Amino acid sequence: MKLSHEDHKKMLYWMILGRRIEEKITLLFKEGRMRGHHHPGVGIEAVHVGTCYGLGKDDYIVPSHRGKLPELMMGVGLDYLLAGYYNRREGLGGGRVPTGSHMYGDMSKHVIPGSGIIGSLIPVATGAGLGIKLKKERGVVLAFFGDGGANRGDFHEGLNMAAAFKLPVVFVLQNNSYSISVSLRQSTGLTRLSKRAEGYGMPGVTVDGCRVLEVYEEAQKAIARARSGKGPTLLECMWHRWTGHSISDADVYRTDKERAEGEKRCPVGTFKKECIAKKTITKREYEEMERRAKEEIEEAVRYCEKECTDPDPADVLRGVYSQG
Amino acid sequence: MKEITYLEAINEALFEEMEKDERVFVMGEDVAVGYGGGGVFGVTRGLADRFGKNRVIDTPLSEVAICGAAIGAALVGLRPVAEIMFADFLSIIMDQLVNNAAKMRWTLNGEWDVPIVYRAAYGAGIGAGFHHSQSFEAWVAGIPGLKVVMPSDPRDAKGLLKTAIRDNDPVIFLEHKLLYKRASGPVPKEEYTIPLGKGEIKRSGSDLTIIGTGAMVRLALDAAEELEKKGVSAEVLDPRTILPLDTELILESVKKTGRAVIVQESPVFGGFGGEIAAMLADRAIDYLDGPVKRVGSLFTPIPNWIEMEKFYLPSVEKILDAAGEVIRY
Repeated sequence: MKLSHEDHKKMLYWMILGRRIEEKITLLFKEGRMRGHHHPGVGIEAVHVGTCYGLGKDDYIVPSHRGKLPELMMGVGLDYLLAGYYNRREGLGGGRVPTGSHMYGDMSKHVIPGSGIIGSLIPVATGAGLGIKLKKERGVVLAFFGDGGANRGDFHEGLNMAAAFKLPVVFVLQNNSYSISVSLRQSTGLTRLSKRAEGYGMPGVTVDGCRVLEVYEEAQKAIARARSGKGPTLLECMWHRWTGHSISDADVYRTDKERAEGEKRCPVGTFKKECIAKKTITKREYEEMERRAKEEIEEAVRYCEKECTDPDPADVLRGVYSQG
Repeated sequence: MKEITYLEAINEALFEEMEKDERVFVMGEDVAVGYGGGGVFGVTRGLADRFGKNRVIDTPLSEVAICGAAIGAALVGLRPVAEIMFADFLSIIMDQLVNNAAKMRWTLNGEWDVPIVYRAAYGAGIGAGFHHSQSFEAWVAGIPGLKVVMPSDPRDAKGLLKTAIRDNDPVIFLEHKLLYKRASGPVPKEEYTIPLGKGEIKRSGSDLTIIGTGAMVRLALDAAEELEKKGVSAEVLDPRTILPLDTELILESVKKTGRAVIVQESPVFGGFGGEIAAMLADRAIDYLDGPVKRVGSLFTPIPNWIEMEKFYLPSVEKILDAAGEVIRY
């Protein structure tokens, strides 16, 4: 799909919204208004918007634990998502699932619940692709995971089977070069994880995951390939994690220099500058987007804190089995 | 009624359910051909010819991918029957089973079905050694969200598998490999199913209840015959599914007989028999005329030399010894 100025505007808005949501949630945790886990997705916006922009109602995603944009872009409401974070009855999962994006899913929006076990959902994404193929539907599955997840056996088995059966799956490897504190250098003998694709007999591409249009272009190729029955692609998106692994992580293992270098590649700032330079938007329009995002988030927070209710503790018993 | 083997019964259930519902498909290692004409034991024989390779899918040797892919396929609306060739390989797929399959429905607020059957051949007695003979039912029976079925004869195997395939939750269907070709029995010619969570009295008696599943039921029946000769009337109860467990039937039987021996193929310590014994201690203590005894395998790896395997496994003699202790108490 050729992108119009309107598309660029929408993409920029998603990226701003994603950034501000992550910042807000981090703040809510620090203020003690939310509890559990949070793995901030600051810096990952271009990966998510570049891959998910333009997905249709036939498509599925398997989110990773970082970042909320894939879920939101599939149509999960921000208030519904956030109410889940707040453990509210009205929220996603009925307020029962772990905060952070472990095991958040909404099958009515084709969002398969992510997992707290890193990489564990890769074979499940393969299976969703198998299901789509067997049902002769046109959907594509986007599976999100990180460079740490790519070192799990699940990655190997999931990618191998997907390639063997030519399944409509795009494996989105969100590479920030760290599994919590252990660097990629220390975890693998490769520098480009996309090279592993060759070993499975599928294309592997590495893109700058901080440039949304580059991600989009490669994602579209992979999606088109998957949709046409040619099989999966491993799409490696290089990005910089602006925070520690989670809000409990003080990030003592990276240098200030490394962080500063990474932050120079800010995906939101870069795309904003491009849009202004190309006159896709004016500075004022950008400010208006920031205001809208803030308003949207504040409204969702207000809804969760003021309007939503606590689940009944006995709700834990509901839905373990189909009969109960 | 017609007389068929346990293996044929399972094969028939697969045929009938695949015929009935096009969302049902079979996947696993060597299921299309294998060296049994469909599977290494022949359980899926003929399915690929009838339903084609799109519904009888040979997979790579990747148990984790098989298990995980079944979850993904179920979530998008199919009803996979995934074969885990040997139940020993449940050890490989525990993450997918425990963390994904079992929790999907609950995570999705109870609003989405996860209809999967994981079929696996378990159990010892054919000299297959410790990587192809183990009984891991207690592991999976401790996981909320899963169901665990262990049929002991052809009629139950067919009726329970049909129900498992129609069930909207993940079911671990444990087939005892010793029974595949050695156990045959009457099966109704007409369509039937057997509900999960309903046990059956395989033999009525009044002095002692012997509880067992799978291949242990045959041993229990043989032990009951021996006891009969000594004037002891033993009841043999097969829960058929251990999760959900028909506690009411067990309580009813033990309250009547006042004595219980539980036979399980896994080692005694940490096995599922402990759960039944604890339930009896909790809810039937006033009715017991003797200790609740458990008969199980030794706490060792499973040997494959036939004499050593016999020494290791529960036997009629071991059941009789335990029964004697309870009766003489």
